[in-house]
Amino acid sequence: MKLGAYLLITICLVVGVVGALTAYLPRLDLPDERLIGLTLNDVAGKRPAAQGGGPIASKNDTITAPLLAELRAAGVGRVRVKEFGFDRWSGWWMFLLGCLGLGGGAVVVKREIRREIAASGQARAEGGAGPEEALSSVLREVAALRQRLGTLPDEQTRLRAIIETLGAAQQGGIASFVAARPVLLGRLGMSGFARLMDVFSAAERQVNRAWSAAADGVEAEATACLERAETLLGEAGAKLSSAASR
Amino acid sequence: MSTSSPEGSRPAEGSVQSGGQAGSKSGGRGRSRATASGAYREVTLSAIVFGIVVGAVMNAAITYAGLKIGFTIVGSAIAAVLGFGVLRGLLRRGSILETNIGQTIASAVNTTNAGVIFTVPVLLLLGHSLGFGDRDFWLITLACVAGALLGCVFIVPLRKQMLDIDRLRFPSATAVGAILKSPGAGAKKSIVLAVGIVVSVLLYLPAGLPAIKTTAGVDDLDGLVERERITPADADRTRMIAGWIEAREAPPEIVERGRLELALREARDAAEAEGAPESAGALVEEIKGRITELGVAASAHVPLSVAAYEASEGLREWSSLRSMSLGWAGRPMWGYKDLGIRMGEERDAETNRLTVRVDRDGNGRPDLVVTDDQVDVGRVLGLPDEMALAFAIAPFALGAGYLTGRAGLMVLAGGVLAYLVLNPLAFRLGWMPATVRADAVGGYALSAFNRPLGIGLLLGGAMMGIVASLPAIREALRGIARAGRGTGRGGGGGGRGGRDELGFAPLLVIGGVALVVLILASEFSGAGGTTEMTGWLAGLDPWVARAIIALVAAGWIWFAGIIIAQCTGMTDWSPISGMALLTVVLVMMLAGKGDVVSAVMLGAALCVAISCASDMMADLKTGYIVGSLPRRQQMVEIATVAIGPLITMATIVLIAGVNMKQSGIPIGPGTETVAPQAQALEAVIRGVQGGEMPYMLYGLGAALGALLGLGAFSGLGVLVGLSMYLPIVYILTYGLGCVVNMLVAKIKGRAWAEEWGVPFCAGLIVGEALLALGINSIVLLRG
Repeated sequence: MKLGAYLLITICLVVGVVGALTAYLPRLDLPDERLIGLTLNDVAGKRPAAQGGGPIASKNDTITAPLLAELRAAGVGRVRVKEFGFDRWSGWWMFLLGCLGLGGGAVVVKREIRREIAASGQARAEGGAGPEEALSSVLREVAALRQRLGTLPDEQTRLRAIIETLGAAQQGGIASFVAARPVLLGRLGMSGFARLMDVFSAAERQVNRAWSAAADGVEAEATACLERAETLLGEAGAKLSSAASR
Repeated sequence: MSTSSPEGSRPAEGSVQSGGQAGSKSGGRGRSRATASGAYREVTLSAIVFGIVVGAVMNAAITYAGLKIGFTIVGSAIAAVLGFGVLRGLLRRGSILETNIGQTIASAVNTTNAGVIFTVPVLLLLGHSLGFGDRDFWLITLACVAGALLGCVFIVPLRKQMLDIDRLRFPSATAVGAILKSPGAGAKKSIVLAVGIVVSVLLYLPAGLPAIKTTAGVDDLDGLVERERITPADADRTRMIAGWIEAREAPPEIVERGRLELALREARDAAEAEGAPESAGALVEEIKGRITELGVAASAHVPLSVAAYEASEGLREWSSLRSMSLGWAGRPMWGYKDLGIRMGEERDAETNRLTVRVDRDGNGRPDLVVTDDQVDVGRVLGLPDEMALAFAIAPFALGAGYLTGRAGLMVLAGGVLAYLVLNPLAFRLGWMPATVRADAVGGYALSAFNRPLGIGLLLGGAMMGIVASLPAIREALRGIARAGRGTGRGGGGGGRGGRDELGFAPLLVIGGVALVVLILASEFSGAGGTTEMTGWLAGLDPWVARAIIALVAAGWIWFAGIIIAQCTGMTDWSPISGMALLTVVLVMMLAGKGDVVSAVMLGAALCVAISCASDMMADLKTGYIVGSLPRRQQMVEIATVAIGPLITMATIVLIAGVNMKQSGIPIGPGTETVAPQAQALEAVIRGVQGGEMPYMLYGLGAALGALLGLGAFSGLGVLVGLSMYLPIVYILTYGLGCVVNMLVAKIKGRAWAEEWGVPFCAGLIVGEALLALGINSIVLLRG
C-alpha cells in the first residue's frame, strides 16, 4: 500500500510538473485575440535549411497576426511567452490533477506510517527491542564504565577504556535510539519527541566530549563529562518512561 | 593565554596526572591538551589566531579563484587538516576541540566569499564603479557584515531543532568530525581515512591537473588540437603571435589599437582625477570612438594589442608576447581527456561524414566520452541525445552521497525525473524551440523551466518543513529561553545549570545592531533615500520605502537561511545562487527595476547571511560530533564572521583595479577574472528588467513542493527541488554514493557501513578539497 502511494506521488509529481510547464507555453491553435500582442520569451519556429535554418521569430518579438500565421504554417505548436494568463494555460487540469494526487498520496503514506508504528509498538510489547532498551543500554554502559574506572590501575588504561566503551556505545545503543525516531515520533508527537531529544542530545554531546577528552588524554574532563552524561541519560529515560505511561 | 570559558570543567586539584596517553594515538600529551589550570583546551588564543589567519588567506585566495574559475571551496575540511598540522603538529598541544574551534573560525572568515563574489561583481559588469573611495563600496561591505551577523543570529535558535531533534546529517561536517576524531579513533580508522584521501587524490588528479598549463610550443599545436586541448582558433592565434615575434613586427591596426588603449587609460585616469575639466571626459569618448572605427582590429584581445604596441615601441621584448595571458595557447597537464576514449565511428550513408550523434561539435572526430571532469555514460549506452546521463568525476560528491545515505536517493530521483523524464518529454512534445538541438536540451531546460520550478519546489518544501517542525522549533526556542535564564542542560564544561546556547538577549542585541546597519546601508546605497521608488513601493516616502525593503530583506534572510541550512544538512548542496536570484528579484520588484545597486547590495547581504548560516550550522554539527559546547562555537563565529566580507570586498576592488590598469575592464570577459557566477546573475537582472521572469512557474513549483512535504518526510520538496536545479552530473555521482551506502549496509550491516564508510568518505571529501586548493594555488601563483 505504501509503495503504491509512493508510486502515486511520483506519477502525480510528473503530471503536475508537466502541467506547470505549459503555463508560459500557449498553444498556437488558440483564437488569435488571445495570442496577438504577447511577447516572445524565446526564439520560435525554424526556417527551412534553404533559408538558413534560423528561427522564424526572435526573443522579445511581439506576436502579430502575420507572425502568428507564419508560425502556424511552419507547424509550430507552442511558443514561450513572457505573459501568463489562465485562459492560455492548457495544462491547468494536469497541474490540478497532480496536486490532488500528491495530497491523496500523502494521506495514504501518513496512514500507513501510523499503522507501521502501531505494529512496531505491538512487536515491542511482545518482546522486541525498542528505544527504551537502546537508551537503557547506553545508560548501563556509561554507569558501568564509571564504576570500572575506579578499579583500573593507570591513566592510560582508564582512557583506553573510555574510548573503547564510548566508541561502542556511539555505534550501538546511541545509533539504535536515534534510528527509532519514527517510532518515538508516532508515540510522543513532535513536541514530546523534541523535549526528549533535547535531553538525549545533551547527553550524547557529553558522551562525545568525554570521548574527545579521553582521546586527548585529559582524563579529568572525560570523567566529568561521563558523570553529566549519566545524569542526562537518566533524565531522558525518565522522560521516555513517563511519556510511555501516559 | 587561555580563553576557555569560566564554566569550563575545572577538575579537582591534582586530578590531571602525568601526561596521560589517549588510546594509542595521543602520544602521552594529556597535559598539553589541557590548559595550565587543567581545563580542557577549547577556545584558546592559538586557535583564534590560527582560525583568523587561515580563514583570511583562504578567503582572499578563494575569492580570486572563484572570480577566475567560477567555483569556491568550503574551507572547513582544509582548516581541520591544517589545524592538525599547526595546532597539534607545530605547536604540539592542540586538542580535538581546540582544532574544532580553529576550523570554525577559519570557515567563518572564509565562507563569506561565496556570497560576495556571486553578487557584487555584477555591479562592475553592469558598468558601476566600485573603489575604496566610493560610498557604495563601504555601504555594500557594511551590508555584507550585517548580513553575516544576521545569518548567524537567525540560525542559532534553530540549532536544537536541526541538529538535536531533526538530526540533519551535514555530510561535509560529519566528514570534518571524522577527521577531528582521527587521533583517538585508532590506527585502523586513521588508515582508512588516509586511504580515502589517497583514493580521492588519485581519482581527482587527472580531473584537476589540466588546469595547470605551460605555454605550448608551436610544434605542439597540431597535437593539442588533435587531443581537443585547444581549438583550431587558439592554434591559429598562437601561430599569428609567433609570426609577430619572429618578424619583430605586428600588423599596424593591432599596434594602433594598443596605442589607443594606453591613451584611453591615461585619459580615464585624467578624467577621474579630482577637479578634472569636462574636456577630459570628452577625450575619453573620442578615443573610444577611434577604437570603434578601427573595425575588426577593435575586437582584438586588448592586452595583446597593448603588448604588441609596447613591443613595437621597444618598451618590452617581442618574446614576452609568448604568454598565455596574452592569448598564446597553453599546454595543460595530463588529464582524463588524454585517454582519448571516444564514441565509435558512425557515418552518414550519403555524405560519408560523421553523424551528429557521434560528432556533436562537427570537428570531424568522434566526440570524447570521458572528458577531464565527467564520464558520459548516456552516450555509451546509446541513450537519445536529449537524455543526459553523465557522471562528474568528483570524489567529494561520491563521499557526500555516501554520508547522506538513503535520504539522498530523493535527490537522485529528482534529478532523474528532471533530466531523464521531463526534459526529454518537453523536447519530444515540441515545447522547446525547434532550433534547440537535442544535446542542448539540458542547458535550455535548466534556464527555461527547471530552475524556476526547482526553486519554487524548494521554497514550498521548505515552507512545509517549517510548518511540520513548528513544535520542534517551539521547543528549541524554549531551550534558548532556558539558556538565557541559565537553566539549560549542562554543556561542555558547564555541568548542571551551565548554558548550552547563546541566550535571546545577546542575539537580540547583535541582530538589532545588524538590522540597523542594514537599514542604513539600504537608505544611502545607490540612488540614495531621496530618490522616488518606481516598484511596488512607489508613492511611499523613499526613506520609509527603503527601510521597508531592508526589513523585508531581513525577513527573507531568515527564511532563506533556514532553507540553505536544511539543504546543506540533508544533502551538502547549497542553492545560494537561487536564493540570491530571488532576493535581487524581490528587491527590484519593491524598489523598481532601475535600483540595481540596492538590489545587488541586499542580494550580497543575503548571500553572505545564508552562507554564514549554513556554515555555522555545519560547524555546530561538527562540534556536536566531537562534543564541543555550542555556545563557545557560536560566540567565536559571531565574533569573527565580520572579517570575511572586508577581505572579500577588498580583494575584489584590488583585482578590479589591476584589471582596469591591464585591460581597461574591471572584471568579466576580456580580463583574467571572468566572474562566471556574477555573469549568471547579471543575465537574471537583465531578464528581470526585460520582464522575462516566469513568476507563475515559481508559484506552481512552490505548490507542488508544499504538497510533496505533506507526506512521510517534510523535506521531500526541498530535495526534489534542489535536484531539479543542480547540474545532473553531480547529482548522479552523488546518487551513486547513496546507492553504495545502501549496498554496503545491506551486505556488511549498518554499523559496519558507518564505522568504516564514514572515515573513508571523509577522506574522499578532504582529499578533493586539499587537491583542489593545491591546484588552484599553483594556477594562481603561475598567473
